[in-house]
Amino acid sequence: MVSRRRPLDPRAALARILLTAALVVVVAVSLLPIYFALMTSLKPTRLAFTMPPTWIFTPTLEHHRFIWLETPFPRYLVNTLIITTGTVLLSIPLGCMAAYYLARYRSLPIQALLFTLLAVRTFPRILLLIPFFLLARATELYDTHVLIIVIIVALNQPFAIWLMRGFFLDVPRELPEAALIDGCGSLGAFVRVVLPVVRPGVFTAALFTFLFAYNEFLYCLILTGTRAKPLSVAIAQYGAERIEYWSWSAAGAVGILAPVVLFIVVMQRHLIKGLTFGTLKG
Amino acid sequence: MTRQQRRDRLIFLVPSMSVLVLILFYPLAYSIGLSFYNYYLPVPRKSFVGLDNFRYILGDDAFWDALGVTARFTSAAVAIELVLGAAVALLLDARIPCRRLAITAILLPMAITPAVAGLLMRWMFESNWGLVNYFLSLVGVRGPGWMGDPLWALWSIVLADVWQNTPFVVIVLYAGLQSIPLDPLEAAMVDGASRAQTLVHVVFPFLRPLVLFVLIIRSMDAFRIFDQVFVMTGGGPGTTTQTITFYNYVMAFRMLRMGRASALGVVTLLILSVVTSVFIYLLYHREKGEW
Repeated sequence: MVSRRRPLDPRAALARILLTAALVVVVAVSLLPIYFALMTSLKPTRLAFTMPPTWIFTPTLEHHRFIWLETPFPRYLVNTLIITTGTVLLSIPLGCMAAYYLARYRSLPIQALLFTLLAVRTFPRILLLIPFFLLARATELYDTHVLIIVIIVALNQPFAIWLMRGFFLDVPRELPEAALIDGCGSLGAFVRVVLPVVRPGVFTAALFTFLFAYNEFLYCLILTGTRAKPLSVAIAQYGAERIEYWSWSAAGAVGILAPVVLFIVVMQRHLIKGLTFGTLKG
Repeated sequence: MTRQQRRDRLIFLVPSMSVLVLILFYPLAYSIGLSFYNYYLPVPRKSFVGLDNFRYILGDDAFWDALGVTARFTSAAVAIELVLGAAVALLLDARIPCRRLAITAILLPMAITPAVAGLLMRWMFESNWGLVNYFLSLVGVRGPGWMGDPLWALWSIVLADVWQNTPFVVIVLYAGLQSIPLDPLEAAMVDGASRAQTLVHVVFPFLRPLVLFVLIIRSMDAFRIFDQVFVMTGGGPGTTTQTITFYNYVMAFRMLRMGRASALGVVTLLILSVVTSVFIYLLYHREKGEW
C-alpha cells in the first residue's frame, strides 16, 4: 500500500503499469504454445484448423482416449519410465561419490579433471553415436533399455558431479572426520553423516537428471526400435497422413508435457537452486 | 597422497570415472580412429585412407553450407536470447505483483522435451492456421510461409529456440541480480546516480561473468541443435536449415558413410574446442584482471 503513505507519483505509477503489462506479455508468450496444444488436443478435429482459431468449443477427450488406449503409447511411456528411473538410480550415486571426492581433496590433477568434465559438453553427439550404433548393430544391445541408460548416465556425469560438488563444498570438513574417528569407514561416514546434510542437493540433481533422461532424443532415435522406444521419439515419428493425426499428436504432446509441467510447478524452488548453483559458485 | 586419500579415490572417484572412460572417452577415441578409414556401412570391409575423409569434408559445399547455417542460427538465437533474457530478468527484479507465479510460467518452456517443443512450434508457425500468422494478420501483416519458405525457415527455428531457451538466461541473470550486494547499489543512490547509470556502472559489471557463462553454455548448445530441426523442418526446404549436427546425422545414418561422418564429427569438435577455449579464457583469465 505504497500509495497510501506517499502522494501518488504519476510517472512512477505509469512505469509500474508498463512493467506489469510487459510481464503479462512475456508470460503469455511463454504459455501460449502449451495452451494451444492443449486446446487442439481437446477440440473436435474439424475445429482444429479454422482461421481465425476457434477459442470456444465443447471439449472432447476422444483424442486422449485414442492415443492412450488404441496406440502403443502406453508402452512408450513404460520405456520412458524405465529409462528415466534407471538413469537416476545409477547416475546419482555415481555422481555424488565422485563429487564428494572432488570436493574433499584439492590438487592440480583434480582441477584439470574438473575442466575435462566441462569439455564433455562440447563432444559432437554424432561422433559418440557412431560407435554405439556399430556396437548395437553387432550385438544384442540394439533396442535395449540398458544401452540407452548407460549412455545417458555417462553423458550426465559431468553435470551431476559439478552440481553436487557445489553442495559438498559447503559441508564442514570436520563433519566426516569426526565420523571417521568414531570408527566409521570412509563410505560409512559419507553415507551416514555427509549425505543427509546435502539431501536438498541430491534431490535437485535427481530432478535434473530425470528431466535430462526424459527429454533425450537423438540417441534414442538411432538406438531404439519397437521395444525400447521412449515417448520423445514416438511423438516425433508420429505421421501426418490423415487430418486426425494432428489432433492425436497434440494429445500425445500434451500427455508428454503434463508431467513435466506439474513437476516444474511443484518443484520450482529446487529447479532454480539447481540452475543457479554452479553459476554463482564460479 | 596419503593412504586415506588413495583409498577414498578408489571408493569414490574410480567408479564414476570408469563409466566416463568406458562410455564416453573410449568411443570418442574409436570414432576419431574411424575418421581415417573409408567405411561405407553396406560394404563390410573398411580400408585405411589417411586424411582423405578430411580432404573430402573441406572440399564439400554441403559442409560449408551447414557450417554457415549453424553459425547464423547460433549467433541469431544466442543474441536474441541474451538481450531478451536480460530484459526479462531486469523486469522480474523490479517490484512487480505475482512475481513467483510469473517466474514459474516463464520457466516452463525450458523443461519441455525439445522434440515436443519443436512440435508445438511447428503448430505455432504453421502458415495457414498457426497462431503466429493469425496474430500477425490481426495487426494487418500477412505472415510468411515460415518453415516452408527458404528465407524464413531458419528464423522459425531461431524463434523456436528463443522460446525454449530464453528462460535459462532469465533464471541465471535473475539469480545474479538477486545476489548483488546492497551496499554498492545504495552508495550509487546516495551519490545521486540515475537508474541508467546504476545499471551500467554497478549492475552490469557484477553480472558480466554470468553473462559470459550463459553465452558459453548457450552457444555450445545452440551449435549442437538437432531435435527441433528434425521435428520442424527436417533440414529443409532444400538444405536451408541443415545444421552441422543434422548434416552429420544425414551423413552417418542416411548415407551410411561412417568414416566420413566421423571425420565431420572431428572437424566439429576442433571448431568447438577453439571457440570454447577462447570463451573460457575470457571467463577465467580476464575477470581477474581489468574486468
